[in-house]
Amino acid sequence: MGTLWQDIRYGVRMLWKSPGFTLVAVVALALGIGANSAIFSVVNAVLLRPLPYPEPERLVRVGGTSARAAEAIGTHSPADFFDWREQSTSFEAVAAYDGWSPSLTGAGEPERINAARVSASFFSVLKSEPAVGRGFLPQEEQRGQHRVVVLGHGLWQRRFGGAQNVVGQQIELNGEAFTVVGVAAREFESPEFTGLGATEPPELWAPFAPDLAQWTRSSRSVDACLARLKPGVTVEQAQAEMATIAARLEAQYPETNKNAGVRLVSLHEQLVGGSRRALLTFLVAVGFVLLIACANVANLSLARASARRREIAIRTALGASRLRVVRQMLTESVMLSLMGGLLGLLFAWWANDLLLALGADSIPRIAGVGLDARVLVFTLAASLLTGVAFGLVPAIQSTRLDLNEALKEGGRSQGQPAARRRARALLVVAETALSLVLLVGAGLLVRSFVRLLAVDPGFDPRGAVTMNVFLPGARYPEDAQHAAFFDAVVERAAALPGVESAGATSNLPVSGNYDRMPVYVEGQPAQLAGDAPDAERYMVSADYFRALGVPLVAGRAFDARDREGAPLVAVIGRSMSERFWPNEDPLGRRIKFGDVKNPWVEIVGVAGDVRHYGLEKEANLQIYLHHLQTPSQVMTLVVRGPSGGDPEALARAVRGEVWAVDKNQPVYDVKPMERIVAESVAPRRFNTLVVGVFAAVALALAVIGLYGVMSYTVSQRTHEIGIRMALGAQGRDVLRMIVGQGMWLTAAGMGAGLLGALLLTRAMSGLLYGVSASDPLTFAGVAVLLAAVAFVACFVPALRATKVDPMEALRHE
Amino acid sequence: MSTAPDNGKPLIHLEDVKKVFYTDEVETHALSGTYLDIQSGEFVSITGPSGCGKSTLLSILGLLDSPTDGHYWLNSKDVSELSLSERAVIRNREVGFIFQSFNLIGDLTVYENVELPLTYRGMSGAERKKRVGEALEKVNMAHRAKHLPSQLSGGQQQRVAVARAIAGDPLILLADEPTGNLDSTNGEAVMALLRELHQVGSTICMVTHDPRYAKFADRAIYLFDGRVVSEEQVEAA
Repeated sequence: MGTLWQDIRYGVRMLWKSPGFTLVAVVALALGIGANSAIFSVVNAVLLRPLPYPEPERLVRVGGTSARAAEAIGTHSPADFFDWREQSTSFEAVAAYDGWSPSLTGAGEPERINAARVSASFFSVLKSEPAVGRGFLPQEEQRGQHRVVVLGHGLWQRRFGGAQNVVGQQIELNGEAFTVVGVAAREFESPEFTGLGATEPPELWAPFAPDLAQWTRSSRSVDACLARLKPGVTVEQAQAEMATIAARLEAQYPETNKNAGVRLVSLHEQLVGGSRRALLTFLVAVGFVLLIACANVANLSLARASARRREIAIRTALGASRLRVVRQMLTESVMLSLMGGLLGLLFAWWANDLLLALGADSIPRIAGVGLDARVLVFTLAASLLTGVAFGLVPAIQSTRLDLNEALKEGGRSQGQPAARRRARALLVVAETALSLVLLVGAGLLVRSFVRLLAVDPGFDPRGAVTMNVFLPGARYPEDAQHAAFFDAVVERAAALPGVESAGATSNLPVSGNYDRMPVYVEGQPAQLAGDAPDAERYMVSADYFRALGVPLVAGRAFDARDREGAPLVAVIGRSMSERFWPNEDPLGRRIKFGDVKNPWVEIVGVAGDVRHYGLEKEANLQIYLHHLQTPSQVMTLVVRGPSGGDPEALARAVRGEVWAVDKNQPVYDVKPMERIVAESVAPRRFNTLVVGVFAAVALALAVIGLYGVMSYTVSQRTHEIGIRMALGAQGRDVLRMIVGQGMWLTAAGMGAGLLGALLLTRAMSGLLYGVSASDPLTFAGVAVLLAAVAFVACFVPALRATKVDPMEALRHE
Repeated sequence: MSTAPDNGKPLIHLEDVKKVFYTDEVETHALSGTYLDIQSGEFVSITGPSGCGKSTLLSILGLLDSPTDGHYWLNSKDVSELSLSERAVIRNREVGFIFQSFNLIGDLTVYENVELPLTYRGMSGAERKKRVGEALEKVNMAHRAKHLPSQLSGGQQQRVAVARAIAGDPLILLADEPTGNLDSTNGEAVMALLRELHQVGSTICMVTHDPRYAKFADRAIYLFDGRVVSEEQVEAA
């Protein structure tokens, strides 16, 4: 211990004596370690931190699957949920979860609330006790007794001032009175199944009490089912039981449940599994940055070891074993890396805020990001490992010396031994290779993102403003009222000054909402629900296509003829037309959807395909119906103003028209369409940005490393260059020699990097769009960029070499 | 200074020691069959022209290098083919070095430089302190214990190097041109110091090309072309 303290004391002295080296090394290491700590803190918050419920490993999501998407866990019907709950024995408790967006009216401004309808057992599945009052009772799942709510802690504080007597009070949701029975605990986090972080978590819960008479088994209207496994029961065992139940239901209800399966997935995986690949990619990227930083500092240390050659020789002559010298050198390396780690923590702390701001819409559970004990331990471990990683090679190299020569030198530089020169060259090659891999990865992501932004979504978002309006059943119980309300609002909005067109749709593209139903085509064999293809259904106003900029490619849009009571008509998407009537005219053909008993609808027009699920997903089959013939209780208004106009002003004006029709009607999610599209690509933008930043840091470090080696080489070869010039070498000969040497190293690194990139970028395939993992253009572009930057890094020291005065160089020696 | 047990055997015994350096395809024979005995308590000087193998011989004696062929017994132990770590242990415990260019570590104080070999020996702090103090006293440098080498004159630096060499109480002191970087006054002073050490029992082997200083030794050995070509007892100066 005493000798370790001596090593540390001496190390401090040596680092203090070389402030330039110490500063550069600490900053490089801080960048590498800090980047790793920052990304690890995200991985920790998202993947490693357990869910905030007791025994979270027993929580699973149960979801429906279909033959069309056997692997995708999805929605299910209310009836299926009740059968699952009744027939299963693997679960301690099971709860349905259905997203809900009621309007909270009454006292204060009308406000749309993020809420969920959940089974009575919801809170017991999550083992959470309310802070005030109680959870739900089983009988409150019965219609008639279901008008009770549990408030979220935030809503309770915001709207009710945290009043203890809130229990028993009545609140108005969608115009109906509900009784408050409890308030959730402050720390309670509700799982959220309808979005990926983009949606705020629920802050109010009501019992799940569907009117089964209104919902057939084919309607997959329930968002999710949450269950807690009995102790000792594995997910696989529960999965096997649920598969048996699904098969039984399929046999019992062949018309609706054909090919309808059930799949279980751990709740943790369900909530964060989608982010795993991106986070692991980030970890690899920052790992590369750290390796490059290590190589850089190792290179500096090797140069420094040359200068300390004599000191090492003296220590060895006095009886220090190789191990003892290596220990001394490693002590200094680890001290450097610990300083880098400390500074890196500051960097990570700052980066966490940035990642939180940029990734809030892209990464679930990122809100919990922070520097907790696990991150600190990770940083400490990373710092120690880093110290050993970059210190070991220079430490071992420094002990490989000819004692006689080193002791006789008397401090005179003898150049660096061949082994050390090789080690430094290898480190530069490795740095170049690693940075090339990272640059290729970033390049592929950038190309994907550019490709994605160039995709035609099927509509024109420029100048369009959208907002949602939900008509509460209590105030608007009739379909005709829904139709009349939205008809009036759209008409008033269209008449606003500067408005080019106004429309409404039941499901806005790229918004995350959808309404999918089986479709049946006249003249084709009768199909069961499980076999019929699904189509997206939209209830829209007449001018919706113009308002959103969806082109009409055949037939007509809706017009004044298409009123309630008139023959049902539809406009279909181009893909649907091409699928069912290739090389034929679809106009005048008839379809029906949802249930075979529903009436036929005549096709009167064909619209361009719209990418409903985001820019990177191909359009599905799409059917548009006129909202006057098929009214919807919730609609998104789409109002197109002049391009370049003020969307805020336009939104305010439209909101005024809604309130002119009904002053109690909340208008929510007011957003320009361009922002909705931008938000839909936010995860990809985030991925690109993060990997891009790390690639830029890697490139900078690699170039600094190359520059350092070339500068050092020039300084070591001053005498040789002097001789060459004395013998008649021109400046360009020296320039060619030095640049050539650097570019050979670069070329070797690029060769290794290209091979590595070919192997490693395959793992990124899932993050790419429109480019292959071996995209030649990206590989070539990155190689050219790297070569150009490396050339500059070699050229500067080479230029300095040409300024060597032969006389001065020879005299110096 | 510790002394080897008096069992009638020399402290150092070289038998047909050869050293060949290979550079590219050229063989250089630095030592070509050297025989040498040094008794405990003896002061031996090694002289000869440049390139005759003096420093190579001293490096082999100090276990900084190993012979290509032949045998080397130090204190009756064959040390010709030891591993690097075994040689390091023997260097640390049984050999004290004094170099021409002093070879003090510039970033350590005088005290720390003298303490360094004792640290490598794993000696306790109290014992190290005692030995360093004694060694510095012996060379009259105790008052400069906290100075850095750069703050000392050449003669003072060499005295510190002598203190470092004797602090570990080695069996033999090996001095390689100890006055080579000093002016005559300081050179004389260092030689006087070595003679004092010898008078109290130290075994010293010194390489020098200066006949004035060779006379300080009991016996002068003349090396030529890697061989000992003459040995003579030196009259007391």
